[in-house]
Amino acid sequence: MKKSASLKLSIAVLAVFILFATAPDAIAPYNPKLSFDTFLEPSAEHILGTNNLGYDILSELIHASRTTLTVGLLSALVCTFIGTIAGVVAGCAKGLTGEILNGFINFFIIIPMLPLAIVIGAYLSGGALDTVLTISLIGWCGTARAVKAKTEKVKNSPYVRLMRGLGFSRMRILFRHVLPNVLDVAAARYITSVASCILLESTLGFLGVGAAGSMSWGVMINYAYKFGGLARGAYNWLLAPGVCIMLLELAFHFISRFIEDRLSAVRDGRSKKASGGAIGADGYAVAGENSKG
Amino acid sequence: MIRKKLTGSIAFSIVALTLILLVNFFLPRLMPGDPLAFLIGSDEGISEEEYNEYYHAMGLDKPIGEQFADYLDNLFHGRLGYSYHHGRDVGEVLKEKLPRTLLIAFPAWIISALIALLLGIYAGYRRRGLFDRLTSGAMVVADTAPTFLMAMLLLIVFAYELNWLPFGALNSAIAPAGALSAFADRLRHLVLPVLTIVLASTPKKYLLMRSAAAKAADEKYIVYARARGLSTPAVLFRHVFPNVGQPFIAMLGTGFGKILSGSIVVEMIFSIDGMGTLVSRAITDLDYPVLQAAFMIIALSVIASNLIADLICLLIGPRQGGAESL
Repeated sequence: MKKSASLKLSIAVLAVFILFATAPDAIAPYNPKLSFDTFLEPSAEHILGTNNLGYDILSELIHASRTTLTVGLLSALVCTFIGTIAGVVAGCAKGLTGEILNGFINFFIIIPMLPLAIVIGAYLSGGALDTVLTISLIGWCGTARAVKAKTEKVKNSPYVRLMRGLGFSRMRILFRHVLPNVLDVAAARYITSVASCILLESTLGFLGVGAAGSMSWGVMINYAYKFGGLARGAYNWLLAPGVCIMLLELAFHFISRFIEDRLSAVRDGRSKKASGGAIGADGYAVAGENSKG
Repeated sequence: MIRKKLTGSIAFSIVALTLILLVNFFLPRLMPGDPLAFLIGSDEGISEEEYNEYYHAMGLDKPIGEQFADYLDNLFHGRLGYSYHHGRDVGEVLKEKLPRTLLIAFPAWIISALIALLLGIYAGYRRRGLFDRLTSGAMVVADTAPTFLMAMLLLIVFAYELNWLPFGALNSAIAPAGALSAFADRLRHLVLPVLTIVLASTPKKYLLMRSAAAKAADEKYIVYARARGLSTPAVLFRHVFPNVGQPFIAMLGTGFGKILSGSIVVEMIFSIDGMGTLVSRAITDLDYPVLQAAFMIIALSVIASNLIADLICLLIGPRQGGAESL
């Protein structure tokens, strides 16, 4: 597929899901709590059929997109915020403080996210905000590492050295001059972060961590799995939310790849043309974190 | 240089270990709520007498320093915490379940490492070729699929629809007689869970290896190696991998923990009675000691495998001045 085509498609998918999330009542064909016959096959009236309680699956899917997207966007925002601050400070700190901060970031990078999220999530009472808190507490490290690398580059650039020579205070250099220059990395990481936060949220939802309150795609699959979706062959119920998660993930993947290509093109001073191969040499985001576990 | 790196990674492991211990010790004691409920799992239906008994047995009436010393002592003797749900120590329960988890985690780890290495290094070396485009595209798609979705898809296709492979568990209810056919039965049960974990854990490693190999492919020493007429495998494994393979090996180290945690979902779906099923049940029961012990085991294995990977990187990496400066 051509790059621009996949980008356009990704933006379209994202736009549709955002539309779902903002106005579910207007788009969903039925009220998600309206009961019809149970386990109906997909038909013209119920495009995705109905579930064990007779709820229309498509309507439930559209309503659940709100939780999934909100949790993903919100926790990625918190992750990016924490990660940027931690990355800038770790990049600028020297000596023991720097080592400690660095070790702290590395610690969170190597510890698998899922078990830690399960332990923390179990202590919180559950509900969308608690899920955001759980994910934010552990998902910031990838951003911190990327921002730190950029900070170290900026820190050694001639103008920062000049400012230090001119006697500006460290804080002023840090927040007025270094921080704005690493925001491009932070912004690019935000998109990647949303994707991994959504993946983690859906896994937690599937496992039933903090699933007390709101219906998300992961929770939908959990119910479908628990209440006979597999045994009764109701694959429409089981797979529809999963396919949505995959589509969303793919959309974020292509968008973040586009942004990263652009960034590296700017960084290397190349024209846009020069970097545009079918699959760029470093076109894939290779982060150490893995939200699958 | 090598000594500095070595002390660095050992120091990091020790600090990480301490952090894990502290998190595990303080989480149940400091979270809002009843610490006893957190320490033994749920405390519903416990009489006051029993409550006081457990309260004393858990050492909650002692000063916090003493509690920590007890905690370390217990840990050292393999006691990971008492679970009210299981009526015994979580360490014992885990000892029973862990081998079944390793039975799927270990083969998956090795297979995914091999696939990621072989496909990744070749795709990177011949980047933008047909092979690279196809595998990279497939890996990206596989990377976006949640593990539970992948497991269910495989289950639906190969067990429910095609009836080729069993639905779950580690062997048939009535295991066939004879060592060989029992072994074949076991293998048939392992295919789907192992395949799921391989599919879930390979893409990240593949993409890392691929981008590393792609960068190396343009280097002068690689061009020279090719000009000398070395075969592609010789170029790849004698010149490309030793020079750019460290991040890959490092990722294998941390990857083992990720495979263990990925097996939480996989075991639940394939009803394998290992650590993963234990954890997913503990989530519903709010059996905190089980959750914490499992987290601890996974975290410890990550720290250990991370350290081993660091050491291997030091030994093979020409850039670290490995062999000659030892």
